[in-house]
Amino acid sequence: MTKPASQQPEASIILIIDEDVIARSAVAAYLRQCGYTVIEAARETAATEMLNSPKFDIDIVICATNDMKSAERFEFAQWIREHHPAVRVLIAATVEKTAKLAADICEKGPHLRKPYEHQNLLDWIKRLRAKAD
Amino acid sequence: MTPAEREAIAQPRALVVDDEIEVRFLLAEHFRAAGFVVAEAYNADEAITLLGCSTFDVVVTDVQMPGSTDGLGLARTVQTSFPRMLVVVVSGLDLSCQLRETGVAFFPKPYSSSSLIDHVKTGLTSR
Repeated sequence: MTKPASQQPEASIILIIDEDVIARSAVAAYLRQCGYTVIEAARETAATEMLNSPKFDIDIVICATNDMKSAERFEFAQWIREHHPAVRVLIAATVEKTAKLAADICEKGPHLRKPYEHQNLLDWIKRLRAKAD
Repeated sequence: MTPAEREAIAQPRALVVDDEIEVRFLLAEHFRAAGFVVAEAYNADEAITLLGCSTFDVVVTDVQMPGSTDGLGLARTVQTSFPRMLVVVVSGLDLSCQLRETGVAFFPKPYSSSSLIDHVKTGLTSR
């Protein structure tokens, strides 16, 4: 998926990798409200598939998976930097960090504003988790 | 606008379930372009987690996926727990006989996203 000319040239397609479907879904929804196209991957294998696909012009990868050890996360980030040097890789080890990253990305995104504070996003994730339990 | 306020807006909500990331993403984007709020799940287990914490009008699921149950198991769970929710099964296998008279719509792969979304819209209107 190549970017339409009318969109901001920067960071319009984001790939988020997180095995936690509740957090992934909520952060993806937040980023979509900021005007980004968001691709969701539960695992890095699927993420690799999308990064290697010529159909998708991914700008940012948010690696939010806790499933990977920090060394694996670093190795995966290194792999992206080597094979896809134009892609910005952001690593978040906690949901708090992921929400903060998403809020920072929103401030630079197509709408140039956050739809709501990242603390609200965290509270929303907490409420969804409580419902799911 | 907070998530709660956004949820209150009457936009139809779809859950798209497929382990093939590209297929899932493209179908989800078609639904978004048609005005749906869409959540995505990698398999039935993730879908069941999302069904436990969010409300959906329709679930569109592939059949063969990794996890504790497949798309048919998910369709049965949805029909039992959420009888008003529309269920659409998509598959490369011919399941038309198996799904006949179950209330589950079946679209064999390759299917047209537009036809599928039209079917869902009609189903939601006639509910």
